[in-house]
Amino acid sequence: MPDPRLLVVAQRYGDVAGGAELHARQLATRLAGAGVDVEIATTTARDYWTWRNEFPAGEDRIDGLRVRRFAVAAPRAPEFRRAERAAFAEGHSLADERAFIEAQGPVVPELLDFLMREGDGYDHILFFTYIYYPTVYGLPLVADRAVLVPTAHDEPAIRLTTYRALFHAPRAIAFNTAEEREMVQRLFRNARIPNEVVGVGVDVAPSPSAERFRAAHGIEGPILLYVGRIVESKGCDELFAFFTRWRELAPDAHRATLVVAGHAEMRIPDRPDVRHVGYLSDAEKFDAYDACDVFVMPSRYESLSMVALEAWAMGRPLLCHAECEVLRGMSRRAGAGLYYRSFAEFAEAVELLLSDGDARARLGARGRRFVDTTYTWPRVIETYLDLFAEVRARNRS
Amino acid sequence: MNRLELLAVCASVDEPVRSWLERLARRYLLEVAAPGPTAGTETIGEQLELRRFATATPPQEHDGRFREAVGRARARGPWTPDLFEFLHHEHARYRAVVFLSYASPLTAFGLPLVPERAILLPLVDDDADLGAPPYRALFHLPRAIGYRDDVERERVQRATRNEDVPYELVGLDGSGADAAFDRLVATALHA
Repeated sequence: MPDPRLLVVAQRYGDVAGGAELHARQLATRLAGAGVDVEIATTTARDYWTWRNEFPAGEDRIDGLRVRRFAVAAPRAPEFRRAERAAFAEGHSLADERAFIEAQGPVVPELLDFLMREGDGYDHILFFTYIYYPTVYGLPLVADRAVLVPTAHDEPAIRLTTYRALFHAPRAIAFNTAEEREMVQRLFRNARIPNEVVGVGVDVAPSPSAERFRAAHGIEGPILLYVGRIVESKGCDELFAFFTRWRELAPDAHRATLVVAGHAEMRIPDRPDVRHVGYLSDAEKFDAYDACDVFVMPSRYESLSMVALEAWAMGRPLLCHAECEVLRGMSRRAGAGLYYRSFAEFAEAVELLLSDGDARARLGARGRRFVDTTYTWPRVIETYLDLFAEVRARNRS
Repeated sequence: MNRLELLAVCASVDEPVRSWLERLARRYLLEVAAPGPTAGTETIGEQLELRRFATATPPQEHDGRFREAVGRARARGPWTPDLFEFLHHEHARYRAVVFLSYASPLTAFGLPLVPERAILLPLVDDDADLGAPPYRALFHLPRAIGYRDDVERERVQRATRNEDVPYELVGLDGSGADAAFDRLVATALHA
């Protein structure tokens, strides 16, 4: 019997930054290793903001898998922010919503035509991320074999009428967390769609070294670490404000360095206790986890924080924003983190975590256990294979 | 007697649909949405509240297979963008929205706006192309589907593989039609 055929549809693929894109690539590669015949349909864009055509259109091979790239017909529109404001405003129209989706992009009509032409040749088609054009218009073309990985969080876009059908059409839904599933089912009343909380597996780099990281960057003393895009939408402005205020309250007693790693899209405070170490390789990132005392995730909007899982896998406690339902829920279930919704709570949590090594170790150990039992690749792959088998069974003649 | 808010979306209120709607209005708090030359509300018969939505010329689509298929579906008419805006803004007023005829653009483009409360009576023709957009996903979306008979059900299920959508066999008239429709509404609300 031939291997089941899977098409993975993602807005970008390959050597690109981005959590959902990394998730898609890791999953595609591992499913191929588990005997699934995997192909990828994606765009020629590398940058998620401009969607500029940077990869050549046509066939590519990545990690041994066939990748079909389709040209972006229209980049993110210059008036995107205006379209977004209009679509998110009270009393907006359907036309506002459609204008927002088109302005957001990436507009890839040739990918839709490919799905119409060739979609039936695949046993299952995995769509990554609910929000972008390829999923909004592509998934309904192959609904009977579609599995949606929504990577949804509670944000204004998910309440748009235009997205509603997406959550009722697929054959199955793969959620990243129990919190994401609860939110989606509350918003859409779509519990009848077969689904699983799947997530991703966490790979820990071999031989991480705190000393190597501290030596490379000349950092001593306690470290609070953030890894990710350094941008206001991830809550980094508030993190910088809270951290500097906490330090200035008692500069001698409140000793710590806030280390931020990733691409900076906003101004970073120019002071010795805030260190931007740039984009880290995988090995360097795990050195940083090993060096830190507390991992901080200030974002209010996360469907799954890969870096938080990695920090937990390294036995570090998490400090997250209380308004991020996903991370707060995971912290509660894992018993592996604290959360804040104000400066006072941030300060109290930081002081507790930095002054009480036992508490830190206890929380970190629980985080490691949580990742070891929930976010492992064998479990993830087995769950996807079960979902795919269900899709095939329902489509069997 | 069931007294819950129901919106019926249909391209025409001519017979036999009109008689069916009048019987429905005796059992449900019913409003009907239908196209018309001008927008407005009217009461027809004894208690049929009708909202008319003005028809418009559908936008032309020529760019690629997908857009052409969508353009063809719109061009079947009637095209009523104000009805879609009404569903977008006012859907929460209704416990369920019943769509008549899958091929009508009112259904093909209206039902996806309210899948969580949609009931579809597809009225599939013999020459229907159910695999083309926007119809292929349409049959997976509603809370429940009312097929006229097993022949229609088998045809739709074979073409769209939507066996997991709850259904009832429901006619617009004939003995047992009203009871079958009431079961369909109950299925949609509670299944």
